[in-house]
Amino acid sequence: MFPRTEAAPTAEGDGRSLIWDWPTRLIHWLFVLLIAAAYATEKTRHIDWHRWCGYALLALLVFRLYWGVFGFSPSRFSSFVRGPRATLAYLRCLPDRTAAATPGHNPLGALSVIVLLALMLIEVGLGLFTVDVDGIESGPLSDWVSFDVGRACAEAHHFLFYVLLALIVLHLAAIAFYAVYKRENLIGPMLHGKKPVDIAYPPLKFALPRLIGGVVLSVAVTVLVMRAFKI
Amino acid sequence: MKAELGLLMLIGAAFAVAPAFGESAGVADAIKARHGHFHDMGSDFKAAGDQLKSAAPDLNVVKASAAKVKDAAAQLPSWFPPGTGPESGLKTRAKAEIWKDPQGFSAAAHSFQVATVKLAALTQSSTDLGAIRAQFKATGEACGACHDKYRVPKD
Repeated sequence: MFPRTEAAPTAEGDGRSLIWDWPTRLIHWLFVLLIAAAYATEKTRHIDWHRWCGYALLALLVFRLYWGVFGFSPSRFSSFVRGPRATLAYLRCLPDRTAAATPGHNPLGALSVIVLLALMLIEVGLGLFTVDVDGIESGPLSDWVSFDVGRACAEAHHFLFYVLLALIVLHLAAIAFYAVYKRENLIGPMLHGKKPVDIAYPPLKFALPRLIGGVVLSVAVTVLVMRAFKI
Repeated sequence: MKAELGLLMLIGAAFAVAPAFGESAGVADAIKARHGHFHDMGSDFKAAGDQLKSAAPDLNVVKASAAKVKDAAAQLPSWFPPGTGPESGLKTRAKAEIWKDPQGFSAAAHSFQVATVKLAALTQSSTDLGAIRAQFKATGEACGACHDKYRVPKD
């Protein structure tokens, strides 16, 4: 089940070690697909499919938060979230044309991860309360709010998408900057998980039970939300 | 002579424009009132929909909302006096087609009215949730049919 996570990084034999385990990578690329799908289904007014995109994103976000606490160590928030001092120090050496010393997220990248995850959570959260202009289509929790509040959520949901899009553009620009200026490939590790770094992360213990626990948790939360907490 | 003619034309033009200015206040009011009516209809539609979404709907709420939607729908064609389209220069999503194709617009409005009358009647006479939900959906589709043709899509 966990070939990459369980493999001892030194056993790769090519001086590369695993930094992004497959659940982290899978979630990342599903975010990409689902955000695109959510946009496309809204624009073509397939609102049922749009809702499903939102539910899938919610489940993935719950799983990613869980994995940020109980998952493989480079994916844990405690391993990459840094204070303002470390972030400033990193900013100062940003013009250096050398690869970052941090194997996982650098302090600035960590900030980007936090902001992107928070924005996605708020965006999905707003969608739950959204009501369309005709009062016909709505999110699963829209009966908790008035028509006017539901409409305000819809406006915010609409606006915030473009904020999210702007941050995604920044994310891509940063990847291009690292590739061109710092000669560091960030896309490869997000595909195969490995990076040529010295540090070897200990394999995740009880990986399968942890994974199952996360899947059960995220599905349960999503189903509860879909049913407006009425079982 | 030339100057006099110019002045006369100017006065004439002023008179020609004056009623348009007077009208534009009426146009703005009509558009504002229309937005208000559609807002209220959306709110009533949501009130009914919220109930029908739940496992145990309060059918009195559905009945009251359906009656309001039906009454509003009966008035709907009167919310579109001539001059209140995009040519007014004011903020409106009403398409010029409403006035260019009055028969098509009337037909669409009529089929919506028929749907709302059916829904209101059903909520009065029946407690069959399946039937009410189906008619609610059909009414929503009748809204959508008109919007597809006669309302500018949101960006």
